[in-house]
Amino acid sequence: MQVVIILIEALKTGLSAILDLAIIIFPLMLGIEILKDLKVMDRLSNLMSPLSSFLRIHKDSSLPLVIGVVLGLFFGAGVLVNSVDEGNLDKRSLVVVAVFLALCHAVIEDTVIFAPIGANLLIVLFVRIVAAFAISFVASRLIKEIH
Amino acid sequence: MLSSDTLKRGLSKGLHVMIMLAKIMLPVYLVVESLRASGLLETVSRFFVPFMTVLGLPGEAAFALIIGAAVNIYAALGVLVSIDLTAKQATIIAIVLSISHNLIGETVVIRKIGVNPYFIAGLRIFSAFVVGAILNLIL
Repeated sequence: MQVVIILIEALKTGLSAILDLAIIIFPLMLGIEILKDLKVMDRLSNLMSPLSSFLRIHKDSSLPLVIGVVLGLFFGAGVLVNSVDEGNLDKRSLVVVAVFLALCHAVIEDTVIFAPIGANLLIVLFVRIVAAFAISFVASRLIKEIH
Repeated sequence: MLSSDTLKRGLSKGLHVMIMLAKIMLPVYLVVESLRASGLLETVSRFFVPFMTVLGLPGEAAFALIIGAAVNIYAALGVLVSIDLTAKQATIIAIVLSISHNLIGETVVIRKIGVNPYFIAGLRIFSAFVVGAILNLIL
């Protein structure tokens, strides 16, 4: 009986989490398509070229990177999956972006969440970003072409 | 130029991503909730108590770190509010948790995009521990 209650609870939380995602996913994907068709996306990619050249990743991977860092890993991954489907991304860029996003995503939510325990939020945010840059930089130099 | 095709593409990609994430999230929630209810996480965390001194944290922090790694940051905070932490300890545990949390759910997503999930999860745990240890020395 206990088990059934736990499973039903899990199912409920899972479903409500999926609905929460839907509220963001649809406008996000639609927004990206609109920006692409208005040719704004190319300009955005160029704007972020210092970032993509620093990490030596394909310029199309800077968008999923920024979306993941701001909104969260699930959204970054969603955009990333589409870029992979469109065939623009090489495997190496994918791994480097995954490393960065795994360490550093949803920076607003994941930082303010620690206010109640009295953590220094600026240090938390700063150290996490620095760690993600350092480790993905190392990864980008260590990982050669993957086929 | 914008056309009805833009709308169609946006919505179909949105749906595609939603289905992908839904397929991941439901099983993950089932596994994580069962794990949490089983009491297994408490047992595992006992093994990590000695490592807490490296991070400058009290032994009870081990359970918060384990539940954060397996479930999510909210679950870890539920444990943390009952522990007395100095400002330095709170900052250190916040950084460790911000790097290494929700490993089951987030790692399944990583696998879905075609990257080795064990590599990423291992890297997160390792770098969280190293960054925490360094901060314990310099803060």
